[in-house]
Amino acid sequence: MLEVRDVTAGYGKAQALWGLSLEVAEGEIVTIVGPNGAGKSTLVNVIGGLQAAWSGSIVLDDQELTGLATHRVCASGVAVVPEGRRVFPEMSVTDNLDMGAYHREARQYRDETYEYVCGIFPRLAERSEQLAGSLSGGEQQMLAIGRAMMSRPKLLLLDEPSLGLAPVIVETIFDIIRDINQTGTSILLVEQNVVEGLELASRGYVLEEGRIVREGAAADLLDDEELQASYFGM
Amino acid sequence: MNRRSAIRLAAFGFGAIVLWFVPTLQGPMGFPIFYLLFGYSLLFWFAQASSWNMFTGYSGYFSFGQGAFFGVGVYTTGVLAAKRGWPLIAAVPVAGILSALLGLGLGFVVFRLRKLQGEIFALVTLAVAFVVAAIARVSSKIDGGSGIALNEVKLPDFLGSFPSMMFRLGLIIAVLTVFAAATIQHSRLGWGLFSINDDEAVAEGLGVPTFRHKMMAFGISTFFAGLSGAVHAVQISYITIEDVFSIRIPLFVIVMSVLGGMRHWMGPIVGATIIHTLTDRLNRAGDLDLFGGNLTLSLSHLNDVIIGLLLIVMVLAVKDGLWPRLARRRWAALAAFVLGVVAARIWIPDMSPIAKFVVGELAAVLVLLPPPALVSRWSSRSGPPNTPADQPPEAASV
Repeated sequence: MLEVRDVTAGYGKAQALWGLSLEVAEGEIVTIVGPNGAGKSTLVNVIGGLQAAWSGSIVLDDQELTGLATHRVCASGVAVVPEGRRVFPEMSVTDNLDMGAYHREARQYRDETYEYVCGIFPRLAERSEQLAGSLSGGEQQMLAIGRAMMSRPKLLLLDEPSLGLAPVIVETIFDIIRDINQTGTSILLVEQNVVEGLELASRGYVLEEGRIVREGAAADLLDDEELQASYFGM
Repeated sequence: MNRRSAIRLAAFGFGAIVLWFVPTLQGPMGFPIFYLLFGYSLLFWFAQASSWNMFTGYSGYFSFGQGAFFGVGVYTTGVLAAKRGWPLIAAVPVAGILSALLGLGLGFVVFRLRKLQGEIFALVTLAVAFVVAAIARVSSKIDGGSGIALNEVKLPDFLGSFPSMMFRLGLIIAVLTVFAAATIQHSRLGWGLFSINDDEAVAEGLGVPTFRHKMMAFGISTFFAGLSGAVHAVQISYITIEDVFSIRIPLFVIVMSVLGGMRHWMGPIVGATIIHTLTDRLNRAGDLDLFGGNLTLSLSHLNDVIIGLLLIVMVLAVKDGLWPRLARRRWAALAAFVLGVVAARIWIPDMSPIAKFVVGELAAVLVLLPPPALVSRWSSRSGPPNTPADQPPEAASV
């Protein structure tokens, strides 16, 4: 469903992505792992339309996303859960979720989707009137995911959802990501947490210095001795 | 239209109609004409502060350029009505449009930038007032440096005597502006602006057309700033560059909105009421003799000092402005207000009504000062569940 072809991108003169290609099939969970500064966040920003690619193409279900205004990328079915959660701190939990259903297509189904999101995150429903800034880190992560789901995306892009969370919370979050996937949303997960990230996925890519250096079935990558040596510290 | 906005519209309409007949009652009730002019000034500040806040307060893009848009309004009346003989009510809408065009032009340039948009916007709005003032000063078709007298302007006489007419014009513009501010706040546009305020990149990712929203809001905001300025020109009666483009307008709209609260349309109204009544009384208070005449404090000269101190205290003590607290503690504030007025009446029986009002409102502000956490500890109810019981160990998450 998502096809990224030969994408290059960067900031000013500093190039961060060097001709990167990847794909996500319908209903799949794909994980991208890689060290700090490998270009993971740039990749998320480019696919989510927050940053323009220098060259290459990004296609979602036969629709060209490259060059679209950011708000149009969202309307065409990509939702981003940004790194560091970035909920709207001065808004209530409900208002945050409503912001997710901002664009017209999603708004028609607002009540239905709201029920669905509260079903996955009962904790959010309990705290609906609370200001998002007063939530715990784990709850904010749930809210960021819930907010993205409110736009009824075909593809959910998660940037480091485990960042700074306690292991037990990370486990909950990853279980929820799996549940969301089972209801039909394709998922592209960008993670530093290599083992958990790959265990969740069917396929994986290894990103280093702006290039894909390995790709394959997640299980194969987990078994790969070279990767184990450099990433898992085994 | 949903039920809430229908109720709001009805309340606005009703309030506006009641106020409309205040000038009619002036004769029969016998209150001084001064109150009509005082009422006009208050309505003027409602319009100015609301127009500023509906963009800056909602979106978080700080504008120091209110004086420029107000000035475009004032000078449109000056040029069209005083120099070319247009009737005032024909010049007013043109003033709004010219001001909005200036705003949209600025926005079109700045809002296209990717980086440092907010900072550049603040600087550009700061500069635009100087540029507009300079153009007005050098162009003899506008001002030419000599000022413009407006005593020959064709006024809408059907609105009554001069004070009644000013009051009613001020009322129309204030009602339109405040209604626009309230409508934006509760619309998708307002929603989008608040999300831009909180995190623009994320808002964009969620499908908020940020450029379009900022342009719309800034256009509407500057339109009303110009309208209000155009009417105010007649009140000033002799307009000069120094007066019109002084720091007063941008400074006061900021102080009023910060004091009242910037995330709600009622904020600027609360702020404008407090600041305007307070400065009005201070201006008229004259000198205060202390220590048997050895030290004389001129209260009217201390005006700006007091406003400045108030801004500092409010920013530190009431970060979100008074309105959110007023909404939560309205009965306590009302009680304090009534107590203050009664106390003032007993203390100095011949105190003017506005001074009594000031004493009352200061008492109400005092009640609102203690932070919410302290208040919820005092009250018997247990506080809101603000602290999650399951806070995981997340030292790294900051």
